[in-house]
Amino acid sequence: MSEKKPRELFKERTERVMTAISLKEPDRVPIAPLATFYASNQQGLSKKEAMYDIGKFAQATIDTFSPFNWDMVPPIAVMFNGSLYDILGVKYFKWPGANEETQKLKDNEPYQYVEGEYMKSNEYPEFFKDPTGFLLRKLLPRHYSNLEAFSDFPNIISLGSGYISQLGLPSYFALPPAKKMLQTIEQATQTFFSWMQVQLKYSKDMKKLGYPIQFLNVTQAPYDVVSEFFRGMKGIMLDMYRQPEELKAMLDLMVESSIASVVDLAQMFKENNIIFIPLHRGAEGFMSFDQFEEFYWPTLTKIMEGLIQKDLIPMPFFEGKYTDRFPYLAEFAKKNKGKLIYWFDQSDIIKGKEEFGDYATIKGNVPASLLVTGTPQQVEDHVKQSIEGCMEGGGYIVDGGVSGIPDESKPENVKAMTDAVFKYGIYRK
Amino acid sequence: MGISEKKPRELYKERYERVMTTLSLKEPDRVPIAASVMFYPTDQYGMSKKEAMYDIEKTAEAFKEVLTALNVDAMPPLLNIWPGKLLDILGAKVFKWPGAANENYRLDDDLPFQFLEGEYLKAEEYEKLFEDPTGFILRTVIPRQFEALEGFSEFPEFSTLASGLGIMFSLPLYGIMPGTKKINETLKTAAEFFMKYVSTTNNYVNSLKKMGFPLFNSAISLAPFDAVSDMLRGMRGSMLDMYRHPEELKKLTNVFIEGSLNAGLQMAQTTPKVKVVFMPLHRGADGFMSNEQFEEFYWPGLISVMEGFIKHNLIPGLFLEGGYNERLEYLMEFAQKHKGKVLYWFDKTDMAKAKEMLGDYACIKGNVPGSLLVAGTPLQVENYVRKTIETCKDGGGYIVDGGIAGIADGARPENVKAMVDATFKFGVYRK
Repeated sequence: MSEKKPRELFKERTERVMTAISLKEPDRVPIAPLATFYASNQQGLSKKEAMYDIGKFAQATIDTFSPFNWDMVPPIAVMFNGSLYDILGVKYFKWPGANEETQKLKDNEPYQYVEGEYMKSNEYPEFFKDPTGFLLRKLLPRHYSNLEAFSDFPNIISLGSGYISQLGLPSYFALPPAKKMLQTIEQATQTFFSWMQVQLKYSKDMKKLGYPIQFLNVTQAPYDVVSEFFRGMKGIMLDMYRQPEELKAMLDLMVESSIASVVDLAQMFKENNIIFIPLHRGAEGFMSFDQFEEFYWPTLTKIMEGLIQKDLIPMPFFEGKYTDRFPYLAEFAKKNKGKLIYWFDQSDIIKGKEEFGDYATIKGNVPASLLVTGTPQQVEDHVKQSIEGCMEGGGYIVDGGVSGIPDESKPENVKAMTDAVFKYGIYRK
Repeated sequence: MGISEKKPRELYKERYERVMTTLSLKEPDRVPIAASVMFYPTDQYGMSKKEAMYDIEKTAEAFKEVLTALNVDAMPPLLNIWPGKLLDILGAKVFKWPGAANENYRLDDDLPFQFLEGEYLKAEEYEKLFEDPTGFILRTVIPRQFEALEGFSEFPEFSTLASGLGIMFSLPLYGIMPGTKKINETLKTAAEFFMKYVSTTNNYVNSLKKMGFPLFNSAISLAPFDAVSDMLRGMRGSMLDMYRHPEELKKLTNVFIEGSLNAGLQMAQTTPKVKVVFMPLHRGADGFMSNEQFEEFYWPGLISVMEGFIKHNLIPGLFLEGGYNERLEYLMEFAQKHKGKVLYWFDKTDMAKAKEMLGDYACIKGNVPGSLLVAGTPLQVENYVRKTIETCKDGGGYIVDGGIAGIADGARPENVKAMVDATFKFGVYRK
């Protein structure tokens, strides 16, 4: 194997994963883990450094993961860009090294969401009347301290009437706050693109080593968007009881544009058609079946269907437990056979294999607890068991559970996980 | 003490109060005269219409020189002469004007600017607009109206603006699009120009004040129906919609109520003492639609905007272009509810009838015909003004002005002088 050229390896690995996804047996069960701060920890970078020096983070990722012979390597795009956050004045995260004291965590703490009611419970009517208007004028200023000037964005007639807008638009952009904001956006654009350059270089470097990147494109379940960026967890949970129709209407609004933005971006990344969809509030314990069926699942499945229609492969990450929700997952998979990946965390994947193994590829789920505190033997046993339970007929990819390889995993356990795939995952020589 | 010996400060106060008194339906010392204009002052000053639109400072000089000499009680703002340079910067596709940089939109140097009617919003797009008004206008309508803003079509998708994860990609990706770069440059240039324009208009207002002349209005606002008809659906489109998409048309008209109001309020804040908000009406006139249609489509939205201004202590000044003889009942009904708080400026409406029906509730203004000022004799003008003053002056509530657009562009100076002189001669209530 070691004599193969990187180009051949790249092709072979890609095909191995794609064969598994199309529910056929490749030569071996593929392994395609995700990771967040594991590589930078291994290379002695603080989390602050990882977030502020993407070049170093990319190198750390290459140094850490390229020896493993995985079938797909993690994208570095999961590492949020600290400089970009500073420029925009992000208020909904805290992260190590933030400029603003209020958002700053210690250098070695991972970033965190700051939950809040960025949209208040009584603002649904205003939102529906003019969604983009509400986002620009109300939500963005609450999300980003340096986009506060959007609060004065010209009103509808100053935009819509040609002879008022000829003065309305220039008068808005003539004001110092809007002028400064344009500079902020330009600066953000430059920062983003130097970050993108590193991303592209990372992709090229990995390709030269024969590794495809697992995904470069992300979207979210509408319920999670509303929960995290509009109403907060508490707010949205109350809304399921107090304003169910408003909430559902808002979720519906997210569908079409979520699909469109993913499809737009996908045109830039033609070699990667897997779309990562990290799920947050749909897990067991967050809501009842009835609520899941009413609020969470319908718009998520619409987005996944939309992506599938565009030949993209949705990969929802079912963080937490979803075993009891398997009937929903099975029903959807039956309609979209061989066109999606279900990545599990704490669900029973062997049960999953029974219920929808003929329709969907399963990915996961070596427990974080095992990778961080277990022994290599325990890891090997777990991977062996999962492979034996899931490999039949293709449709299984090995990865960790929550966030793939946890930040604090023991390197010998990561190695044991990898080795076990090569040892037990062979379909044919 | 003769007028000429009064200080400008006194004259300013006197003129301002003369107008305010008559607006509040009381008799001042004399019927006031307001000179509304388009290109009359710049024509007189020897400027082409192109020059007027491109050299706003000189236009301001022309306004001051030509109009203050007439000793009028209230001066027009500069805003009726649109800055050509700004239209060039934005790449306006909705007008033609003299001297436009893009020859597709260029008229001869001495032609006045024109609206280019079109369906900038298509009939089948109503629903999309309702779902997301700002988003649709930004992403779809503005690119159709302004060439240099075509990049707004790439403005980030709704869901990515909402999601912190999405916007990290979408905003910068939008930022890098060639169209966006052009927008940013355009808006910067437009904003710089706008600041110059604002300082020119501020200087104009300040120097008028020093000369003793108040401004009649500084803010402008639109009837919501006209906002839809002029710049979104076009006249033909909006007329067909009254039959084919009546509910959508009404709903769209309603969308513009708040915006029309807020735009006017914002502009009015810049000159707190100036109470009149200019509202030029286009499609509500007799002959454009039936009374039933007026009542269903045109009037309700306009009423909402007017009431909004009145609440903010401003006076909606409707310019009722064309004839409104068939609509006087509606105007009366509104004025009865808002006595002394609305101004009706008439063009071809019968002033005697208007005074009779509205005089106890609303100030009226107008309406020396453009035809008379351009093609008549001074005596004809004097007779017309005299007759109108005699008909309308009783109890206050009347202001002399021209009909369409005030003093018509091609008006003879001697006729304009006759109009002013007649006001001083026949408009006196008390010495």
